[in-house]
Amino acid sequence: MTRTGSIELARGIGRAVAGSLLFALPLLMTMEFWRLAHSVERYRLALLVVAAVALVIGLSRAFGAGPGGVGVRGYLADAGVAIVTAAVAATVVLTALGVVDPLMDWRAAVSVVAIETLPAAVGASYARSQLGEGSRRPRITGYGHELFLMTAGAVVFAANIAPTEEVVLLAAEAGTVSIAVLAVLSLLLMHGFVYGVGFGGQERSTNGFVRSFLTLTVVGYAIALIVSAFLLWTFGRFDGIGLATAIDETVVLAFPGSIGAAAARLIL
Amino acid sequence: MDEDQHADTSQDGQQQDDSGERTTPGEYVLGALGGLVVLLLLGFLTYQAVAVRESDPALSVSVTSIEAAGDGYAVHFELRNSGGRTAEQVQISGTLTRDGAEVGQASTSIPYLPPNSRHSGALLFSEDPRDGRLQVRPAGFVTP
Repeated sequence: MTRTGSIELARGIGRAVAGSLLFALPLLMTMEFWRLAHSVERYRLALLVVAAVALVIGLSRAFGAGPGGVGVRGYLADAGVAIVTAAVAATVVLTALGVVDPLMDWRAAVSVVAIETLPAAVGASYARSQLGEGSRRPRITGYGHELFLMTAGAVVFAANIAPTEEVVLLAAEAGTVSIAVLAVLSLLLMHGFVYGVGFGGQERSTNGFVRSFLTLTVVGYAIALIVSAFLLWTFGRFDGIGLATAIDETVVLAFPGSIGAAAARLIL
Repeated sequence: MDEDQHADTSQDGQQQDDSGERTTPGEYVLGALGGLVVLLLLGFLTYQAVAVRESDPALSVSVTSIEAAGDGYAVHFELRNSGGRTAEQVQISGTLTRDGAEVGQASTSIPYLPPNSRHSGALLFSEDPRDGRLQVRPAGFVTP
């Protein structure tokens, strides 16, 4: 390895650490998330790990990362770097905070670090690809890419809220009308964010309002709903409740999810 | 990769080009390590699902030390969960009896205790717990 190569690698890792902390600190310091690490059924946690790894690989593929990473091996390597960095960062922070003690309760520590590594890895891969001067710009465009961006954004925003008790509380106390209003509000905000208020990266609705609303905003909201439902199910929020409450919870969580989905289209 | 896009984002042009477009061996090593971490993690979760997570929480309390603290006495204890599931909202209660009469009662709770873990705390009494019969036990828990 050349000297510049190792310098770039070190700087890329530095960015990954920064990115994982930026994204994951709220969750690293959320008590519900530590508890979920122990209480979530193992197969659901395994599914979550697989989904998160797929997302990290997708992010690496869509944006590249660090100095290199062209081709399948390149982006798989990028995803691996993001995951290792995130795991180390999560372990160090959780140990420093006294949440886990790897020497005493290693099984408990592994569970907590595992679940906390997932948002950190997404942050790491984002930072390695987007925040660095050596990183490449998006080279993929198109409808599928837009949908992927919205999924990533929905995951990042919804994941921070999903573990909290507030989602359950809000859904339990909200009436049908408030839930419907929340769904409409989500759609309006999503559309307004991307097309209306003039953020940098704003898109022009080239194909007319109706078409862009249906193909991107409505589909994006559906993605936010699916992502929210998956996270809630994983965290056991659907266990032992009726379908109506499950839908209410999903709509509540899809509110931040949809904002994230819209923001991702502007920022990424 | 097209040169235009690369040139636009790279600030220190020449230096970038040396390592610019290739994944370095270091990245491959770390990347492979990342894959290994994921596989080990999935293996760990499978092991937990199959081997460990079957049984209910099994809680036990042991008193580690008793000392004077402030106006009263602190009974330090350690709670262990040797079962296969997490116990939440664990209640610990302690009673102090002297000559058959209860002279002190104290309780506390621990938010959650994962399997194979321990957590320590203290119960506070106004009477000296070393004089009399002290009983400390887990009084209840909730499963997640």
